[in-house]
Amino acid sequence: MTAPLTYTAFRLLVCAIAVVVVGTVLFGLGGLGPCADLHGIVVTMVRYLLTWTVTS
Amino acid sequence: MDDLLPVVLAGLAIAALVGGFLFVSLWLLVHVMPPFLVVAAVLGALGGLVLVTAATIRLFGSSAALVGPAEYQRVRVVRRTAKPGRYDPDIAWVPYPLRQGVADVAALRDDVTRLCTRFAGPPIRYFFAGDFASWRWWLLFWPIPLVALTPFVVLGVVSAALFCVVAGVTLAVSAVGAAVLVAVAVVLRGAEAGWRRLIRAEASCPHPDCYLVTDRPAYRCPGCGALHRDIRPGRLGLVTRRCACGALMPTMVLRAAWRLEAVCQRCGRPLRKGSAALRDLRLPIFGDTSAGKTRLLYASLHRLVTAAEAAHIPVAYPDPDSEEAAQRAFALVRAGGDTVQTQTGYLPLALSCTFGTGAGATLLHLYDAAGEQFGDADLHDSLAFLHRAHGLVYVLDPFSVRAVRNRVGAPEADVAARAHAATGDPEVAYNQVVSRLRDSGIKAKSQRLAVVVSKVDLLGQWGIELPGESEEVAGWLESVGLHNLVGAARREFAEVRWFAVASVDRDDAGGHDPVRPLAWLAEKSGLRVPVDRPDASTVGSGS
Repeated sequence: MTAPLTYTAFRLLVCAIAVVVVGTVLFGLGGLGPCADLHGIVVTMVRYLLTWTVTS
Repeated sequence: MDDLLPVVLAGLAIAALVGGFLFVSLWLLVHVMPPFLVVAAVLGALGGLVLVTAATIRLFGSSAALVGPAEYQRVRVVRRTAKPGRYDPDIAWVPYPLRQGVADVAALRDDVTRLCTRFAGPPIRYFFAGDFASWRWWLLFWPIPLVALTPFVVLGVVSAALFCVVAGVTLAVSAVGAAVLVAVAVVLRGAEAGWRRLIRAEASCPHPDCYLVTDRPAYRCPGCGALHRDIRPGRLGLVTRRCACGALMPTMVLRAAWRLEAVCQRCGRPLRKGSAALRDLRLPIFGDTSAGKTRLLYASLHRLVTAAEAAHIPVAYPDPDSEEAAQRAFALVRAGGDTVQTQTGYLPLALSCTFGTGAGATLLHLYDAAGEQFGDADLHDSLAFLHRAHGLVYVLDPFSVRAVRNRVGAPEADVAARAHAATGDPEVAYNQVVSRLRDSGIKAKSQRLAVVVSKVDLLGQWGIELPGESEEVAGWLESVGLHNLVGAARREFAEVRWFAVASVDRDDAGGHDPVRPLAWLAEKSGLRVPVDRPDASTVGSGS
């Protein structure tokens, strides 16, 4: 049983929207509203890893 | 004092140990473990991202989560209230927003849960239920499980969060899609229903023993032949629907009528091309045996088609049977030959033809049953074409009236033989049909009736000339003793006209042109074909 192409189209649409949502939450809205903390956490983690890697 | 010294020393030692342990732990936590914890957390987050992405991608290729046509039909059958005459829902793929979105979310939830359990289960069991589950081990070696379990905890949290995002987006897209689908379906259905009501489009089965008239026919899938009984835009598709076999079909009767094979909802036999998308006009002809019904049908249709072609109105036959029957009839009328008596053992197949093109076209169905069948009580339900007719043509053989035979002057046997006269009483034939309509719950008062005195050309051979005007024909019938029939027809039908016709192919037929009854009934139902005929006043009790 093969799903119609419209199913694939809808799923692709869902994936695209989900990627946009996740990307926006993590990186797109940095410094704005409730996403600021999450953005800060990610940036801090990345900076810490870079610093630790360079200094150790 | 000496006794307390060991205790104090022991206490100090323990305090030193605890303090040292706490110091070492704190030192480890602050200065050593952060990079490991960060790396573990990042690995866990990446793992969660990969896991949810993989589970989402698996949906594309997985058929396990598919809501197939058969499954959706089962759901609809369970939810649908059973009613007499209601068929099972059609079997076709349901649009994604209506069912598959929710099914995808459920499948994604199960898959994410399964993968999380598969990856995080063993280490968690290892540290919480295995050899290292004792508190002493945890007390001494807590950094190890902390670092080891961090990625799995983060994996679970990130997976849950990403699942919530994907599920939320899926449900939101489904909700918006379903709302749009419902709104557009309502608009399309309303538009189609309004248009079809405006042009009075119906689907009438032309086949014997059925003659069912419905709002819309069933359509056969061009791929697998499965029947789709409700092709309207809706839960199986807005503009198109996909049959279980994969074939794409148009929705809406107005589109399907020209692309798919329409079949009767009841008997499953094919309907005429354009059924339910064109104005449907059904005109049965009834009367006694040998009254001249078939002859009138052939001659009037021949004249109607000729007049339409002269007026540049395209005429077509929607099926080979009708075309063959029409060509045979026209050849017979042109040759002036005698029609063969209609077979009594068979109910009539409608002779159909289409007048015009496009949305303004009309699908005309003519029904001609043998005279004997109208009096057969066993066929009461079989002559259903009478019930949903737009108008009736009653053919009266003047030679079946004793007063007319007496006026002729010749021996009755000779007259009857030469005119192939009907043997029954005209009033009996009329009453049989009207009683049948009344018994079937049909209001004859809502129908039009054309009373046709046939064989006028033969009457002329004996010197009896009939008038051409409607009211004068009615008066002539009363003059030959058919007062009751004239009175009953005026009383029982919405509108009655009286015609005297010669069912021959002659240009000089004038007021006795056989097309006049058919043209009048057709015009009253919206089919206007310009035929030359004298004005005749309407005689009606209800109009």
